[in-house]
Amino acid sequence: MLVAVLTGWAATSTAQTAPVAAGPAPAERVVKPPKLTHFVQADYPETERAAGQNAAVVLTIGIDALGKVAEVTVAQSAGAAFDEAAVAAAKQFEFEPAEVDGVAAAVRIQYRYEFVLQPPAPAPVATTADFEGTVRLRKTGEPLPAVVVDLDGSTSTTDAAGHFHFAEVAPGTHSVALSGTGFTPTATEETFEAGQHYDATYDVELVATGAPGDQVDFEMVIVDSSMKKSIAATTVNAEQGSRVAGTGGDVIKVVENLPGVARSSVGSSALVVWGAAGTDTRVYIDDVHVPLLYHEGGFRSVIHSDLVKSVELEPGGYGAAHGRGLGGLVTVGLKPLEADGYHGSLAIDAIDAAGSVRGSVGDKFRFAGAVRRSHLDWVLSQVTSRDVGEFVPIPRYWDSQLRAAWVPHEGESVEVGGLLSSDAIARSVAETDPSQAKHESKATGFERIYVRYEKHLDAGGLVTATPFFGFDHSRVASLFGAVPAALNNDATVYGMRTAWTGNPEEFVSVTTGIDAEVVQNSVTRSGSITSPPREGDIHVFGQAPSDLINADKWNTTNASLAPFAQADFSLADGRVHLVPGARVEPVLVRASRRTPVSGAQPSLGTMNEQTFVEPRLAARWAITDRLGVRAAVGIYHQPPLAEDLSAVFGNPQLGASRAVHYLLGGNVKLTDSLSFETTGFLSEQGDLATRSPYSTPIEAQALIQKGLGRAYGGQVLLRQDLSGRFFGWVSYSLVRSERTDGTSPSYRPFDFDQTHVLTVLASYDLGAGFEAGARFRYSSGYPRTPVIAAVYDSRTDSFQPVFGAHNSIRIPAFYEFDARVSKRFSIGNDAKLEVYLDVQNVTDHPNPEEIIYNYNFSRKSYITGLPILPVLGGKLTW
Amino acid sequence: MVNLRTTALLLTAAGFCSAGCRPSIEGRSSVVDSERVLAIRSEPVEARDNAPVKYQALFVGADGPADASALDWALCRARKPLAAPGFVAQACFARKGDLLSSLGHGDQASGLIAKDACQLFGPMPPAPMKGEPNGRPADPDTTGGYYQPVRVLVPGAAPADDLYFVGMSRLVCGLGGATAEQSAQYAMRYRPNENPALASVVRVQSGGDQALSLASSSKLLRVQPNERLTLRASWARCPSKPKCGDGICSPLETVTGCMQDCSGAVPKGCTGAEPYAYLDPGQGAVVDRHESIRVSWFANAGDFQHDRTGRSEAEASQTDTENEWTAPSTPGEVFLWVVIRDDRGGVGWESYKLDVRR
Repeated sequence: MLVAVLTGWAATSTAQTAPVAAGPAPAERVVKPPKLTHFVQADYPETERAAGQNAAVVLTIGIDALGKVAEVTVAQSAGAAFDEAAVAAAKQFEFEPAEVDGVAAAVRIQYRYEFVLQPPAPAPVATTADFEGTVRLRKTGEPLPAVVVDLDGSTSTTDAAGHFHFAEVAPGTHSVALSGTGFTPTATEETFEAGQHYDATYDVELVATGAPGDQVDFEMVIVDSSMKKSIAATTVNAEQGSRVAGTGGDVIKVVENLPGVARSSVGSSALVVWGAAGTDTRVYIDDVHVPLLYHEGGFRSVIHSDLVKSVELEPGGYGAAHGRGLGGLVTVGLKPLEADGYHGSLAIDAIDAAGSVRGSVGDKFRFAGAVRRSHLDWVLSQVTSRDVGEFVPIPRYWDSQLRAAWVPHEGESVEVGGLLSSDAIARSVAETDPSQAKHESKATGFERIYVRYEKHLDAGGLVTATPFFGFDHSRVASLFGAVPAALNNDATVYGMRTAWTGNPEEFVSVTTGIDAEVVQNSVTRSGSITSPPREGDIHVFGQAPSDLINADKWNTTNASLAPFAQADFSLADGRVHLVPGARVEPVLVRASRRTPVSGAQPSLGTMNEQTFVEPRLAARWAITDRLGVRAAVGIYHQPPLAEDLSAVFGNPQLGASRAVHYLLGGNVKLTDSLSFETTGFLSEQGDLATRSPYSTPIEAQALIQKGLGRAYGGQVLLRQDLSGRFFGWVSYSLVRSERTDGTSPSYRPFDFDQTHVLTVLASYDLGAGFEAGARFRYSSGYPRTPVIAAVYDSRTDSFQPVFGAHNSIRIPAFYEFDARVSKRFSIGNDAKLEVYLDVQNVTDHPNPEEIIYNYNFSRKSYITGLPILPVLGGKLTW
Repeated sequence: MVNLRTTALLLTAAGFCSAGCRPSIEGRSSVVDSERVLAIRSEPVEARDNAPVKYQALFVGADGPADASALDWALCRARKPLAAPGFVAQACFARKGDLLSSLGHGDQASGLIAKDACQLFGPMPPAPMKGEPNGRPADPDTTGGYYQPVRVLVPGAAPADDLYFVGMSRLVCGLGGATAEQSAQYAMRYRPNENPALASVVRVQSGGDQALSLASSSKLLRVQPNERLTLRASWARCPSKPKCGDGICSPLETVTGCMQDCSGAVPKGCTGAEPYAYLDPGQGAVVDRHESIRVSWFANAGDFQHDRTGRSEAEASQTDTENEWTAPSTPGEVFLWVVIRDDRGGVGWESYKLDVRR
């Protein structure tokens, strides 16, 4: 039997082998000989190849009771080289142990190893592919053992190094499913070609503590997906995001190109998602809430791209881990700090300069930092004959991030970080008419320090805790003639997000935690009640604000400690995911002044406490490997803005506003790299703060909480992931966002409603380090209220417009074509230089951005946005 | 001048263009090419509840002074909704209405300030709605003033063709939300406004300034077609310190302290940039300020370099302002109107006529 087995193996080997004997067995005993289960082929010694001799080495192999090779000796030599090769190979053999009377026993056998030199055979025509890979934790890169990788029914379990292997994979497309403890089972597809070797890395994420939306799967993942694949054909990574035309190399700017996101006006940094106000969308950087995503002017995001691992935009329907916003959710994930040497970058273009470094001290201490500062004001001063800032507002900004982490061992880390951002913008217009002289300035910024603790538990769970502290600043001031307007808001922010994720059962993962935040605001405001205007205020761009003014100074505290829980049930072999969740949001709002200052009357404060239960539910169903559907519904509340709690300009007794999101969508994978997604949505909002419609509103009720809103529509995304040299997508959103004002029963278009938004972008690797990209954008113009007549005011010597129906006309549609060309150079082994030219508005199309009128409103025209705008820049990385 | 397009081509940037790439639109307020009211003056400028007030309009047309007999005057009692755009309630702009009190027709009118004007338009809380607490008082303007509007209608053939103009009577209402001490300080230091007046409008030239000829003058100043004139309007310099006997009842001067300046029913003020007391709502204190002066220039032919010029509060020590006017290429008589305003609702004007001839 042993002869037959070994002969059979020998027949398939280039080195011929044959047994010479088997150990004798007593006649009265039942002996089962050892069975060779793992054969290792010996290499023909190169030193003997020239002689062209065949040879045979007889070996004595001792096999222990476990089937392991215990010793190998040469019984019959064929020369040192042949002997050495034969012994080396035999030591790697594995056997089923021999048995004597049913009991495993150690035996010794003789084995004949023959070396036959054959002419080189023609290369076999491969008919299969070889597929191996590694499964890692997404956040830490730590190998994940015991993950079952299913390749169309064949399985391989990852070893301690997270490695798996499939040999002889039939060509074609196969489904790959990953399952195991600690993460939600997930699946994808791979396409294999015969004769090719595929080495894949799957980064899976334990059920996200801060972003259960990963499971909801309604988010648009820009940089990474929740299951990132290093097979380049299907990944849109950070590097690709930075190469989208018109973004100036800023990864986070890609958010503006996603479906559901309205185009911002030139110079605006607001993010309007699914028809929600910019202040309704929450922004988090690794669980730390920050007040804004972009610097003033919208040129850059507030965090360096080198630190960004992912940016996720969830336009609505997100999970229970987040709240306090009626609109979308933007989550910026920071890259894990690695102990892989020192790296950095330097970048500069006409707008700003930036640098970043990261490194480690030993294996346990790791750090990263980045800084950026604008210099557009300096550049302009070098090429213009006078300070252009007298005419136009030039943003001045800087930001900085610093991170330091201690990693006592893989899977556990403590990170201390700081996030800083500052913006300033100012403009002065001198006029011979003192009533027309203008000065306006705006300064915003935030500072955050945080500590983030993260530990991956043995059972695949995850614990995170992120306390943070910081300040927000906003100072807006203008002087239009003698009419002042100022709004200063300084906030102290205390926050903490904690979460635990685990898998109590194989088919369910649970995330629960606490989301706490306390914001203390100190606000001062002076000027007209409509300056600055709020959503719904009818105004004409560039016109003097009302000169009826007032002033107020007040403090507010907004506190909430919200426990949340969410489960992800993986059903039907992972094809159906049901994600119920809930969040209890107690909202405590305190304002220091209930009524306006009146003489020496002491001010009395007011406190408003509300508690909301916010159920959330999401589901997705992979009907087939290529077709899926999804749905979600959730309730959301948002506390009032501190600016709205003035007894003079607002209403100190405002409560939270609410929204209900409904979503239904589907996705089709047309090819391995081409996918199509569509989502329909409805967001109903209530208890919105709006202007009092009365001429003599009740004292301290300039705002009332009777506004309603609704946004509905759909979006589609046809996306080609990087395939070969090309990636790109087409996104289209059809959104209608409407509001009612106070007592009016009829809906009007929301100030930032953009019915149609179309974005087409693509990037192509030209080879030799060259890459070209392009972007086309089309969007409806913002609604505006028409001026139908005007009356003359002798006191101010100006005409007062008479308006038609609220928001009943629109600024003409916007369309723009942008292009980008870049070239990469390698400098030495480790450094790269990228030089790029990013040209916005290639066709120099004059896009209307606002409507302006002549002195008596008898004629109108448009302010146009950017002309053709080339930006030349470079980035050195090492 | 900055070339924004070149700048953009050379560089980058974005937001600045939203404010910088502003196109010019046809139409200048200084060009009088149709009938319109250029100014409405209230005398006195400031009046208490139920006080008599006289109004006068400067009504002109493309050919010069226009027939003002059709001007329809009415005091308006409508208060603008708190956050509504503009300065005056839309209800004031109607031929008739419950909230309009007719004052007659012509270039002048007179009437009584509303008895409850300080509640309607001032710092007094408005009458509460039944079962509701007090309503919100009106906000003052940047000088601390409250106003009742007076509407002037130039009727058209149909209501849609009507032209509306509005003037303001500044109200004497005291302060809203002030302490007793602030009110006392204010009463001591605040003096009702006086309509400003043009001291002179001259043509500036090297050989000596030359006064413009009033429209009523028979001898007109002669200028060449297309000639460019530098015009200077000036007004009175207001005393920086009270001086009894100067004919001006300045702040801190009282009837008891200076009877000869302050004894009239309406004490005489200065016709220039007057000082006045102001309750700064931000500081919560009564502070001393000066009026700014604006001069609006109008002509039925030719072009002014600026539609309006003036001096801000910070330039209150300067008592003149200049503008350039280019005579039309066509010979003929040209009317110029120069309107002076302070920022407390005071208005004054003069009409001039030039002979454009080769």
